Amino acid sequence: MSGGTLVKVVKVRIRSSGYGVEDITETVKDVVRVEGLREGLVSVFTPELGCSVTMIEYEPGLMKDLERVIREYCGANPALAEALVGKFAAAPVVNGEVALGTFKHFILVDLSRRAGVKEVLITLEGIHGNTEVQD
Amino acid sequence: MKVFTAILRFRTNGPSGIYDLTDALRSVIKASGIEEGVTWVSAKGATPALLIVRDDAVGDVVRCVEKLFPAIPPGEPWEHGNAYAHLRSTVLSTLKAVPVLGGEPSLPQGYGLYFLETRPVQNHLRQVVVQVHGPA
Repeated sequence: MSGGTLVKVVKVRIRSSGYGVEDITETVKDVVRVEGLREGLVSVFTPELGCSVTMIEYEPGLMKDLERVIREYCGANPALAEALVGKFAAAPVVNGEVALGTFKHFILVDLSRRAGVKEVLITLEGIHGNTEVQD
Repeated sequence: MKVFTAILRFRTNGPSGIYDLTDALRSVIKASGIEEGVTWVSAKGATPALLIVRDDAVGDVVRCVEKLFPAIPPGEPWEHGNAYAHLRSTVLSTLKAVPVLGGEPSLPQGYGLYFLETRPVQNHLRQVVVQVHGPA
């Protein structure tokens, strides 16, 4: 479909203990809803040192497994974890909904060992308005 | 700006079932009418993965992630039973971007877009969102 173009970067602030994982999926969905993106892409990036963004099921056992992988492959080097886990994740928006499936979530992984508020940039690009989806 | 969305639905078998989506990608781009832009391809769900890989190297990639994240890891088992499937998905990613030039996906000759089923499933319904972005 074509219509009003939306390109916008929204900064959000996520409180973090400095070592752990924050589920930021609802924050991402809220930004998509508030900004009115109907069809397009929502991407999530963190500029914070020692922090990563990725997509995975948010479940306590799986978060322990992720920590194990990061410890085994990256040791105590947060820069390695940033490269392995990544600073960016994204998903399409279809009919105003973020197309994730049932269990996939956006998470912020913080290995900085610095508690505080962490910045996440949510970029929206696409169309406002009604949509036509070929199925 | 124009955004054209199609949803591919297909059934998978696993673990490590591989499905070539290259022809479907080409068809969606053609249906979109977009000549120049970018295609975002995203697999729904928390365990599959998408690969852009040389056709003759698909098996090597699968063996590589099986080695990185084995179903039964050395030492302690995974806390989350199928953690290996989630970790393969997360590291390979469920999202790929393919530029569109001349109304075609700009993949090199001999490369394809593939879906990897990481779970031990049979006849499992999967969905892949293909979204083409271009000028209005």
